[in-house]
Amino acid sequence: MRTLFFPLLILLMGCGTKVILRDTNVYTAELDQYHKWATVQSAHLRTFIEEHCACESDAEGPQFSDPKCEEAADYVLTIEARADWHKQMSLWNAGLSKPDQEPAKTPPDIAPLTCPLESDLSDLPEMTDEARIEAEEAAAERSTP
Amino acid sequence: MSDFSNVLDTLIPLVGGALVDKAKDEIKTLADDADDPTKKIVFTLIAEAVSELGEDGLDIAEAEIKRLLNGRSAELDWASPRTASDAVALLQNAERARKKKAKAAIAKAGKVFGALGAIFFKAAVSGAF
Repeated sequence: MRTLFFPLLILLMGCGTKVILRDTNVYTAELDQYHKWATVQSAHLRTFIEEHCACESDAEGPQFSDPKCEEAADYVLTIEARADWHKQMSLWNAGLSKPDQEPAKTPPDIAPLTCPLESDLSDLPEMTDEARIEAEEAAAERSTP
Repeated sequence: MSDFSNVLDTLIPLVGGALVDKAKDEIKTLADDADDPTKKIVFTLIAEAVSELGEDGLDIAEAEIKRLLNGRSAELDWASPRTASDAVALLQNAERARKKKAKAAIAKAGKVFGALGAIFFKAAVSGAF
């Protein structure tokens, strides 16, 4: 009976969520590629929005004249704020990060949608909260007509 | 999960034609008031589905959210990138929590086996002499 029980238990353990075994190098290369595609496209899209999307000065809300610009801007802000965190979480959950590289529990906040777009602060080096607030205030001042 | 089903049962008769906007506002209020991150995301996804797809949005949202909460891949085409990112973050954090629990269990099991090993070793040594 016991000889049957353990092999059966091992078989049943595979009945939950599907678990995929991947080559770590290929998986990391894929993740890097998707991340790069998203972030590079987002940078190009930001330039395009900044150069071609008009703002409505008297409107409430995001204030883009064209709703397509508003949609695109929302993607840019989300990718700029979250792409790195999601990638780090993918690596962490796959056991491919060092123990001291665990991502924060809550993902970074996404900047509110404004027209013109706020400057991208995601590439700046680690800042204290005070320095970040100052940088954000300076960016807001710059974007005020 | 049951809260989410109750809300849907109450809102489905409400949604229809002109009432879609009212339902959307009510769900958005629920999302803003939600104290739990999972509830917040569920309500936000429903509000966005109703906003994008009208009265069909509730059924589609219900099916896809159930898939999402069961850890299966869901199509959240209607969701804004912010909400989709929040939903994926929820899944990633849940996976991290499960892995931490599993690691703690393995460490505990390791200690138990270690202690048992020490007992058997002592017994073997004392038996040998």
